[in-house]
Amino acid sequence: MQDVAGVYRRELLKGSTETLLLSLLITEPMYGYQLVREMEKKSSGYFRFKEGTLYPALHRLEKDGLVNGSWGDSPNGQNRRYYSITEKGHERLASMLHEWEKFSTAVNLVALPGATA
Amino acid sequence: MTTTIRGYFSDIRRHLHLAPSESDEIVRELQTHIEERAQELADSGMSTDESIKQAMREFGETESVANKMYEVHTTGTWKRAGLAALPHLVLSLLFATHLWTRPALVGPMLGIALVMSILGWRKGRPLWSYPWLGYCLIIPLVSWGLAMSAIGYGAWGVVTKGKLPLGIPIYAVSITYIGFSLWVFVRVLSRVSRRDWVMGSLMVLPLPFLGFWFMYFYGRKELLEQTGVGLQEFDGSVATVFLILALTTVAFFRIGRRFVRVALLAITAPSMIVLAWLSRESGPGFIALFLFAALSIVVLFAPALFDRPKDAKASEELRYALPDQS
Repeated sequence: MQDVAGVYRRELLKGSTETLLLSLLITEPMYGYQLVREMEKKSSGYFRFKEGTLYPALHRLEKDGLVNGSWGDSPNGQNRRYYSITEKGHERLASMLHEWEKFSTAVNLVALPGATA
Repeated sequence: MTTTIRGYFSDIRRHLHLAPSESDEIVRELQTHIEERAQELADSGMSTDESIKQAMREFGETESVANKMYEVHTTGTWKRAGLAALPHLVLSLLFATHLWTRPALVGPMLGIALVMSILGWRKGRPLWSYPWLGYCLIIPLVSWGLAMSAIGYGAWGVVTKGKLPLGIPIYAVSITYIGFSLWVFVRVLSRVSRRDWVMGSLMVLPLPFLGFWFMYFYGRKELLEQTGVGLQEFDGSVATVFLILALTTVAFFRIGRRFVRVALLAITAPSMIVLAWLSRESGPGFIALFLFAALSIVVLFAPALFDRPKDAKASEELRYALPDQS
């Protein structure tokens, strides 16, 4: 039997990849592997980026001017490609989070009326 | 780096179809990720060999990863898609307004196409420059045709009258030029197609139709002796064909998926010939239609011959690395 919850979670993650990545980059510039780890840590293991999806998403954000990618050394001396959020990225994130708030409130009002009462 | 991981990245690079510098940077980034993950797995007790294989398995199939990156890196903005479609749009306008017979307009247009192509070539061949470059290939092709005509005319003179109708230097130059123009054409096509043969196909997309259009007039020489109306009777269809080319180019740039791009080109190429054939009043018959439609498909897929050869060794290493993903 198909894991309905798993499929739903993947769909939600797919639609929220941009928001989640930009949110993680707010605190500090990070490289790909670090983003995967941070995402798992901050969501208590709920979200796990598939690497094959993460890099195309990061490169799309960079192409759209929402993040900047540049090579730099990690604390252990290894060369990594770090991503940092741009001004345009900040603006986009603020707009997406505002929309997300309205959306989740509306979903709760409809789907979980008791919980929001 | 082990041979296994080298094979994995060699396969990704082969499927990326991007400029070498762009591919290098992507592969370098993905490599750092897999190496870090493999190190983490090795630290948790897994053997070095198995940790690398596991890291690659988690990362996913090379073709799928490369296709997603290709899509991101080659999908053009509306502005770039418009720039790529511009030469087709200009030609559509020239035919719609019947201005294409004026050398004072067509000459500078060809000059602009040449300048845009040279600029694009010097700036690392951005994707929008390929349709411009395609029109510049008309110059060596037409020169090749003229040189061939001179040779043919000379051979006919020898057969029928026993002597050459033109001076020997003209034939010497023609023979040299045949080789040179073909070399230029093949060289440009191979340089473009080695990176991505689909871009080579996009570049040569108008050529079969232009050949058909030329044949239409060649079959109706009396039109060439007229000025104005005779030459213009076909213009509406030609303008429509160039408009379709422009729309195809925009769609090509906006849709990043490679197989959709190939399908789009494969539908457009023969459709242009069929459309022009249906709207003609006389001229090329059904056999010519069939031949040109078939030629358009051959020309479209010919750039695939110049694509980089498959790295059999790398694929073999990859199968070894990912036994459960074959």
